[in-house]
Amino acid sequence: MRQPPRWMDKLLAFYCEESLLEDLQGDLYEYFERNCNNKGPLMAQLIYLIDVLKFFRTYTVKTPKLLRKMNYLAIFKNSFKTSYRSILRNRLFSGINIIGLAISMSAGLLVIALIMELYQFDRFHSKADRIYRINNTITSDDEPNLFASTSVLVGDKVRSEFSGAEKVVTTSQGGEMDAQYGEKVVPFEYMFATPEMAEVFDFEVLEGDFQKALTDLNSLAITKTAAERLFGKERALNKVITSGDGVQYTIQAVLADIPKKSHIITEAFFSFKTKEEEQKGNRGFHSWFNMWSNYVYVLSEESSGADRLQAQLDALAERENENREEKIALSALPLTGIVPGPAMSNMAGPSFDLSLVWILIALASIILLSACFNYTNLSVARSLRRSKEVGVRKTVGATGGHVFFQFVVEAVIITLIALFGAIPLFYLARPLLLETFDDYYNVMELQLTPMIVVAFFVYATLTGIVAGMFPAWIMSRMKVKSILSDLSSVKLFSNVSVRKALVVFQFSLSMVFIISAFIGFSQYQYMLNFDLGFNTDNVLNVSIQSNDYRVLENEFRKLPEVEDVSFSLMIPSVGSRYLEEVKDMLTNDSLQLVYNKVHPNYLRLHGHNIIAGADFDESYINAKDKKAIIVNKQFLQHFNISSPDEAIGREFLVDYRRVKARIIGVIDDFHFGTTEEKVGPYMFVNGVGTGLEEWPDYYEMNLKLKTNDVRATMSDLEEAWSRVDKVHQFKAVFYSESIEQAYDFLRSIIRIIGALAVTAISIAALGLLGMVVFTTETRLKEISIRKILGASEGNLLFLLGRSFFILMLVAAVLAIPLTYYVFDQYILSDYIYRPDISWLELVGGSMLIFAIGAIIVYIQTLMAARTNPANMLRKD
Amino acid sequence: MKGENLGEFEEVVLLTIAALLNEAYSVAICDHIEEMTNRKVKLGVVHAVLNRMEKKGYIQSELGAPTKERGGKRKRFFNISHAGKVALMNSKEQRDRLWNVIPESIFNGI
Repeated sequence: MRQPPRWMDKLLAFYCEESLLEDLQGDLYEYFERNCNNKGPLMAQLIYLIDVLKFFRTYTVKTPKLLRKMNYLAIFKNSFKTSYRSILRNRLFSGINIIGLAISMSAGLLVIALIMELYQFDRFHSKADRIYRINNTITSDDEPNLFASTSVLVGDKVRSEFSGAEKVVTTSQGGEMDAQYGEKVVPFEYMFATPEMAEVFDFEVLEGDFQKALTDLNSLAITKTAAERLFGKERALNKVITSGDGVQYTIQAVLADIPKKSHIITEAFFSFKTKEEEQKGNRGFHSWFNMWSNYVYVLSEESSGADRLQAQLDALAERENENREEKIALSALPLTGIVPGPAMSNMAGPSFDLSLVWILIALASIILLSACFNYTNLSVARSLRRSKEVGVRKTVGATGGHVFFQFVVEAVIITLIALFGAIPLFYLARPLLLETFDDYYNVMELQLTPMIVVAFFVYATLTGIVAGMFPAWIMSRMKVKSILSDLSSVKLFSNVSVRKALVVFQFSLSMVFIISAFIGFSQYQYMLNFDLGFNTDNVLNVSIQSNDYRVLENEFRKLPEVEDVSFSLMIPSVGSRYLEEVKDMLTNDSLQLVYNKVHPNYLRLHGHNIIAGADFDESYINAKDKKAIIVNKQFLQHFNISSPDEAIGREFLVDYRRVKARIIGVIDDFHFGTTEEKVGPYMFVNGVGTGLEEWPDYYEMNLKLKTNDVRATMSDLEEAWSRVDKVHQFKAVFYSESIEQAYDFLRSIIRIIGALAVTAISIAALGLLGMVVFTTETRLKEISIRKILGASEGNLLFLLGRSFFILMLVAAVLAIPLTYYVFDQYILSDYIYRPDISWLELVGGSMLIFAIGAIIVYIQTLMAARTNPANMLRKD
Repeated sequence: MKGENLGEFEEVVLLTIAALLNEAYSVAICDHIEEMTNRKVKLGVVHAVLNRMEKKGYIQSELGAPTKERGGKRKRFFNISHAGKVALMNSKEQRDRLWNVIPESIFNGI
């Protein structure tokens, strides 16, 4: 008799439960024999196989030995059932817990998603764990200043002298260039890089030879999107583009667009040789101190080469620093430590401060803690009701561990349900977070990837376990006898004061957040409306974008809405500063200070007050040999010039000690920085030139506008612009907008604090609601009796509300001094100019919380006080 | 209690087991049902029903003596239990009662 194939039998034996195996196999075998006779052996085998597969069912399949032995399955099932029922039975409490947990978890979800995305940065490079960036640290008189950039010299030395460095990449900041191809002129962003970039980093090459593109002179590698802008559907490879200066560059490679999560972001890489050629006349290019726009990356031979690298860097720094006044230290930062990473100067590309990560984690954890306290509070309060259940369980043999387990399971289930509620909130709050941290580069998505979802589940489960542990612990410790015998005498020992402490904590937290939001807001308002000492109203700043400024002036003066026109190198008071060095020719004293190069109309346009000497006049416009400076009072103070009049005519060396200049005027002090900066010495230098040089003196055009219809004016201005510059877009910002933008970050932080405040308040309010409901429920009998004995509603309200009132008072007493201290000493200490924290903010915030709490207590106790005593007492 | 009534197929299987006395095993049950009702029944379905009913307590089973056929694999024989018999009787009585109150005229001429 034919047999069915062995392997099919083995398969059956593998999955099937032992007690069922034999007869099942026999049955299949019997059919096999029949089918052999009726339908032929082949068909029979096929049918046999299908049957073997079909019998893979719940009741035939073996349960893994481990589970069977430990019987956890039964406990799990029971716990689930009990939890499910208990949740349904106490809908109010469960609802409160779920909502509170959902709100607080959404904050945690956001932080988790943000952090997970941040750690994705730069990971697409296969050699990422061996790549380091070299940073410079300059220690000047106040503090060490960490720079992301370093010098070309360092790169060269590492390449030639260091051991353990497999490859070294040097890059240089480029900027935006206007590339011309045929009739089209298209701007794109670019940077310079040495050929090793093709080997060390994994930027995807679509066409051509990336390494060659970075080796040859005047050659580049361009990304796909930029190429499409220039050439449309035509192949970009080997095409030649021309720059504004007339230099021709050959495209030798086309790269895929650089992934968003990379700190190196650009649209084209030019060969480093091209930059070196440009800088041929600049002796300082390879100097130790030329560390402002170059970056060096090292690919180490071994994966833990950091120490070796650092030791050699220290030695190099020591050699170079000899005999120099200012010392520069070198350090190596792993590629993966850049985003998120320490804050540095001169960072190119997206960045995220590591300390901010910790702050976010801390905030999310505090909020979560608050919700967990809620859960604990309500669960413990409910425990009186559950104690009978616990008593019975213990009588039939549950150990403390079993009871503990069951309560933890319940907490986890509630938390997982809350997770589903948290996800829509996550989506709601996403834009706020993205706006705060990512409005410039737009690289963060905060989308739900599978990995993030898994992380969420783990987070929710852990939260549930933590939240459930305290009530579970309490419940498991209760003694059976005392529970079953006399319910009302169950003392949950120190629980009453613990619960009160939890309520106080939640309300303190809410007060802290709300007060912070109030303080932050008033500070922000102050900063926006800060009197800078000059006039910024109706001033529109237009980027010159390499045009001839005289042509622009002509064109814009034609418009009736334009009252006055001036030009400047930069826009002060919005956060950036340009530094220069001046040397007093009389005393040889030198000073590094903040400055601006301006057109003669500038001071007049901005309403600066000249207190001695004269303003720049027309004669200074093209006077290359007649350099003049106008300084402020602080300048005079530094150089010990006793009066403004004495200063007129004094000569100084400017422009890195190359040009002589005379003081021709003195102005009042004004705020050239944000409110974080103290007013110090300042200098205005007259600008010269046409604006078409490689390093023009003016980058911004300032227009003083007089108009009632801003929109019409703006379109007139755009038209005027397009008559002058047909390639670039009109880029203009109102001065007041720029100032706002400078404080943008602060505004977003305030919004986040506001959101946190709302969250904390909601959770606290929910918790209070639960507590009040429970308390009034348990005291209903008492209330009824009191009512019968003649208590009025007012009396009852006072009685029931009294304890809560005290709690909130305690919370205020804790919150107010704490918030004041933290803000005064830490957060606001950086700001030199700021308003004092007023009582209004401190007390106002607490009052708000008081009011919310009072409302909740009032409504609940009112409902309780109105119940008909007869109903309550009838039950007894 | 929920689920006291027998399902239709369960009843058919129980009746078959009762009929087959000591010869009731899965393949025989399948054959018997096909003979008596012209229904094609799959082994898998019958197997599952047998398992369920054993859990409910309507039938009992034990493995028979090994024989030469079926490659020496023993057969599992099923017997109807007391509860099973009661269930069958209840079902029949229910049906009979319902039938008895139907006026004769309705089924005349079928």
